[in-house]
Amino acid sequence: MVNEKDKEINENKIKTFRWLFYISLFQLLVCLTIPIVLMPIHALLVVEILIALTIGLLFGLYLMGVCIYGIFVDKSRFCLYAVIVFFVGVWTIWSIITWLYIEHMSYLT
Amino acid sequence: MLKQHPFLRALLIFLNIWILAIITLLILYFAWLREWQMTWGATKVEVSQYMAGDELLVDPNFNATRAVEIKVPPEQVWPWLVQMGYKRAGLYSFGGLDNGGMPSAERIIPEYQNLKVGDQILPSLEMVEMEPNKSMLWRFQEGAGGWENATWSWGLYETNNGHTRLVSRLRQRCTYNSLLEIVHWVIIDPMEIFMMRTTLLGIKRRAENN
Repeated sequence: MVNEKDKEINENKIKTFRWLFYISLFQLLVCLTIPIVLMPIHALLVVEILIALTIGLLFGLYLMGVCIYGIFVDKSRFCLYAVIVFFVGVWTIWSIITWLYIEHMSYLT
Repeated sequence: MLKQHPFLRALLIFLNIWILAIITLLILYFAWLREWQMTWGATKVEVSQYMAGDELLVDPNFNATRAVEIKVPPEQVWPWLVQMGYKRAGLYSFGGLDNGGMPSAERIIPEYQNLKVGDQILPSLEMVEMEPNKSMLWRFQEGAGGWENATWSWGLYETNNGHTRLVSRLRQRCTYNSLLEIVHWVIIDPMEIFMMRTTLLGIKRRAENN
């Protein structure tokens, strides 16, 4: 009886976590897609890169935090969360390097 | 009952994390980051010294003094400054945005070297004062939105080893009179440094490479 209840609590926890993951992913995707709708084509690349370097990175780090938690809570999707954590980690390193050497980033300046 | 639904519980957690993150970011920003970014690259002397246009805006609540050292004398930096502007040589920041989709100039353009008082740098930004190779003052005009009446001052100071300290000072007194202005400053206050730093480093790279 106790095991059944524990199992149910655990399933609910995973369901809740997955919704949290989907909301965080949706937030990031919306942030990256809005400029495609709003911005003129000639400025799109620069705007997308700037978003990726600022607010997009913030949303990416948010998703990374959620995924790090997911690695421990939702072990059945370990690979998915690990890949996202790796990807956002690379993204963060790229952002730091870009900000440090921005004047040499010809695609941006 | 509603709180038992996994989606609503997740949404609540999602919002709570955001509230915590925003509070943490605000504390970090106002305790440390804001002062650091408002004086990026500048020495204490540069931050406190007088610059052209300081008397035009009393008691500004946005007062950003940033600087870079450029390994050439002021005479070689000046031409890059005077040609700055929209549909001119650009602002040396983000090419697709600050110059109507055109990249900023990578060379000194002779036809943009005769800048004079009253010339427009941006549609609502006017040159109001200049002393060649030393300083230049731009002022935002009516129609500049939250930037109206703000001053943007440039100073070039020669160092003992013949280099240039290029100092930029941007000042504005924000009134927060409307929701639009509040939103404007909530975004501009932490974000403007990204453009200004790129501009300063863009001038440095161009002046040193040429």
